[in-house]
Amino acid sequence: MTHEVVRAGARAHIDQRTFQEGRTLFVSRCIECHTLPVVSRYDPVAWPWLVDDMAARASLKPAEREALVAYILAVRAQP
Amino acid sequence: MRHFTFLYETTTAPPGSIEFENWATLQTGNPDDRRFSEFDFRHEFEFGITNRLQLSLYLADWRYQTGFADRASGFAYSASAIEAIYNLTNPVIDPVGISLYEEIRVGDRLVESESKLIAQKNLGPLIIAYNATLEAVWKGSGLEEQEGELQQALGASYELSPSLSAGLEMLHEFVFPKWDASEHTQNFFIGPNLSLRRGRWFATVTALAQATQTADEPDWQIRTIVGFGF
Repeated sequence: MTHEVVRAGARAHIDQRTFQEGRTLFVSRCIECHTLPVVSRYDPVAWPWLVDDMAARASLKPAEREALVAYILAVRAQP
Repeated sequence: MRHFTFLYETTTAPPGSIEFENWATLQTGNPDDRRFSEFDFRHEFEFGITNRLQLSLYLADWRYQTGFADRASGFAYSASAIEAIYNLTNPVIDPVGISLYEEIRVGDRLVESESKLIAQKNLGPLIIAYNATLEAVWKGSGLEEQEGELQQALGASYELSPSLSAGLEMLHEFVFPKWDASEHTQNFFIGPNLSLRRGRWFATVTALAQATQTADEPDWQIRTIVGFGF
């Protein structure tokens, strides 16, 4: 994980564990169906809705869904 | 969810998930008998066990053959099978994603073991997959007939949109009747693939043409896998 990405998590006030869990889910669970999109491709408001739409298909538990959205939004908020 | 039909990917089903996949493969024409056609069907339940382990059950493989000069057309049960895929490394964050695969197939006077090393790399919207396969077959009333096959397959799939991918698959087989290297045949197939997904559904199709001239291998193989996740 790059320092920039870690700093993005810190700026978004996500604890390290949630951030790491979100990243692990992003790079493993999402690719079961599709390749990984660039996170800037979708608006921050759209991301929670997009994840919700695929959460059941990816067997995401509520806490995993939260961690995944938090990770995406933290990386999305990078300058 | 599959981007390929003749290759496996390193990704495994999410823990707790169940997917039902229906396979249909048409093999048609060969230099010995242009009218020959065989339809093979598989019905697979895929279970995500852990983040790295996936198990599958193939309920009943069956086929319909037609166009033989010396045999009547008809349906036949082939076999049932179990399969396990264990993921070792991730195709996005590791240099290469690796998974191990084992399938045991048992049928009427037939036992088959299929072992694979699956490699994959995801580069943005592009997925590149490679499979190395060792297949051992025992058949006949006392399972006295033996056959071996080494196979390598290479595929690429490009995601054109979140619901559509297109690519290419190649299959290179070495068949060893009675495990005799002097009698081996070599076959090469190549062709395009297309994958559609929407919600819990996906459908992937590949059409392969034989680029070699092996007499007892089909000229064309067209495979479709349609899946539904619960």
